[in-house]
Amino acid sequence: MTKPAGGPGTTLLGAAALFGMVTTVVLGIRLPPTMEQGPYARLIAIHPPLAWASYVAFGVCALASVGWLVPRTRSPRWDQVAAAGAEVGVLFCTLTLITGSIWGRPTWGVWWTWDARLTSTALLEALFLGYLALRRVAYDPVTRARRAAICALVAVVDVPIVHFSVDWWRTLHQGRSLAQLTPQKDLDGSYVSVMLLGFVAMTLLCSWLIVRRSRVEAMEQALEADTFEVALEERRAESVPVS
Amino acid sequence: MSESYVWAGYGITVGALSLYAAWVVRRGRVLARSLPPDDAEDQ
Repeated sequence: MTKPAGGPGTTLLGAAALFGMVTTVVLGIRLPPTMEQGPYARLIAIHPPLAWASYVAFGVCALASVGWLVPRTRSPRWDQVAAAGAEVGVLFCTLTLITGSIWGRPTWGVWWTWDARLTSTALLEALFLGYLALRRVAYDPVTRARRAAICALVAVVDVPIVHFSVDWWRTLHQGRSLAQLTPQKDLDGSYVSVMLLGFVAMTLLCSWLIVRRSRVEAMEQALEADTFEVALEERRAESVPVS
Repeated sequence: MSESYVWAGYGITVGALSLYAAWVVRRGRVLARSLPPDDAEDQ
């Protein structure tokens, strides 16, 4: 029997992610209220890190897709990692949109607005949902992997558009969160450190989820191949002429 | 009321991430049991 948990490295990664997440949540929820936003600013410990983790996951999906498309490096492993990256990325992107909406309601007065950052993020979510839908269409594994890889490379183009949308267009959304970490910005030190911790924790969690999910994907593909072989054998047996 | 938005944000995030992580772990265990040992060890 396999070890679905993976080796000690994966366990260590999972433990570090859990510790980081618990610490981020405990410290984030206890951040002092700010003059401008009151208690809502506490969402800074999770909202930008969630967005960052979705970039990481979609980036992993795109890199793995390149790994599959290049004939010299082609391996089913790349396809499995790409599938895992897309699914984990969609989860983080969904949570980014939800936490952003929750933050926007008391500070902007609306749950949603067609702002450049919000719209490009929603488009990113839609593109990778399309990627996941494409993977469910029944093709042979090679065709499915090729089409999915091309789709991922098209979809990932939206990641830099999301990131730089606040610079390229006039938006309601605040500037890039990573820019808030520079010393000349007047973000309180406790906010900076908890947000940084959030970035580390979400990156660790995202990595652990991709590792675990890609193993699940590998087992699902192996099971799919076994089922196909059994069905093929049954068809062959049916077609044997009776003497 | 003001705190409820913050709690909702944290609650939904922690809840969704925990549920997904639990699903991935459980699915991995179920599949590892249902695959032949040779196939499972390859993963």
